[in-house]
Amino acid sequence: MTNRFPAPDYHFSYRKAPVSGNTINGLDEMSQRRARQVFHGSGARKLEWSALETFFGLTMPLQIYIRNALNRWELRKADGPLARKRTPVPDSAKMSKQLKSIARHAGAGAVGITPMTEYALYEGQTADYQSAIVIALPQNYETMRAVTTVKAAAETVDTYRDVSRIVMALAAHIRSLGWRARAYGESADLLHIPLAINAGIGQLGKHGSVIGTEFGSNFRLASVLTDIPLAMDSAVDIGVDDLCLGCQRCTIDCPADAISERQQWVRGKKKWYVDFDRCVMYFVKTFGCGICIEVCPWSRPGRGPSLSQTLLAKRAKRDRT
Amino acid sequence: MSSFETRFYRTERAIWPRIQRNLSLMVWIARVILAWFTQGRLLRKASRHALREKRVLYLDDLIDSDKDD
Repeated sequence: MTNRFPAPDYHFSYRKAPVSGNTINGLDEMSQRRARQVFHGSGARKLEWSALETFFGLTMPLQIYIRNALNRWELRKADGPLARKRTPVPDSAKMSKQLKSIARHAGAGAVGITPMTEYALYEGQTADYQSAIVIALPQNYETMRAVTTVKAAAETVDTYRDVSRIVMALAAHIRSLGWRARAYGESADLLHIPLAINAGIGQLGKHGSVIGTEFGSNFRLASVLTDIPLAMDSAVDIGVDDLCLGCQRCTIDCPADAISERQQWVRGKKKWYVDFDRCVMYFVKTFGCGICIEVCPWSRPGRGPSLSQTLLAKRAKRDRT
Repeated sequence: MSSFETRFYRTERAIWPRIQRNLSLMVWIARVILAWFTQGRLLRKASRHALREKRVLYLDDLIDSDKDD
């Protein structure tokens, strides 16, 4: 652990500890099931760790708190009425290309499309859509170097607002063509990460976030669920596991010691997993933390594509010998 | 309890449900902002004191986990 970041000591706690977030998340479970909400919630149900979330929100500086509250005003446009006349889509590939172009023009850093899966929904939720368009919007790297401070928290909130605006505009465009579309921005009703992985935005990193070729982990995700016919993208292998197996940067730099060196079974899948109980306390103390994202070597601007090439070339060489 | 989506997303074409939605969302946001000045003020004060006195602030003593937003 470096001493660049605040120490993991806390002046807040629970008198009666809630059920471990790791248990709720399905750590060490060998059979597949949908996720359950632990911390950030949509308001649909009371969450086990809601007192900590309330404390997190209400102890935020006003400038961050107000931004978050006002973003909710914009989110009212995430869904809306359909155009009366439906525009036929004879060529799904062409439509995919067109929608990706709109998203990129609006500022998206990466766009991917994947079939909707029930595993992107929490238990008990429904969303009857055919596909998901996943958008990644990069954050300002220099600003995010100030992680654990209000400055970086403001950048994160603003990025969520901007990526929400992109998906809301995209969903509105699709609805104007007469097809159902709902934007999921800064909302807890959808698991963006499994969709982003399936849509080829990137791969899951050791720190529990997606690592994409160009921006590493320095981005925020949002999605559009829709029924418009689209050509699907596939998951990618850019060499993230090769890096994470050998790199210890986030595990060493995480003051809460929440990042594991090995993949673990979570809801029937062996994958990288971050200890929720350790992570969330530090997350609350440090305005949403973000250390693991900032220190990831892949997040450094311009480094990702060459890093991916090097890792894949090394693997190919290893496989030949 | 209902989710943000259920409460505030409208797909009807009619204008009245959307005006109603906008009004109730304004009230919801106003309540959220007010909470920062009321419950939040007490929490921040208790948090500062705990930090200064090097003692632990127990969240369950201050925050009602069963209360809806």
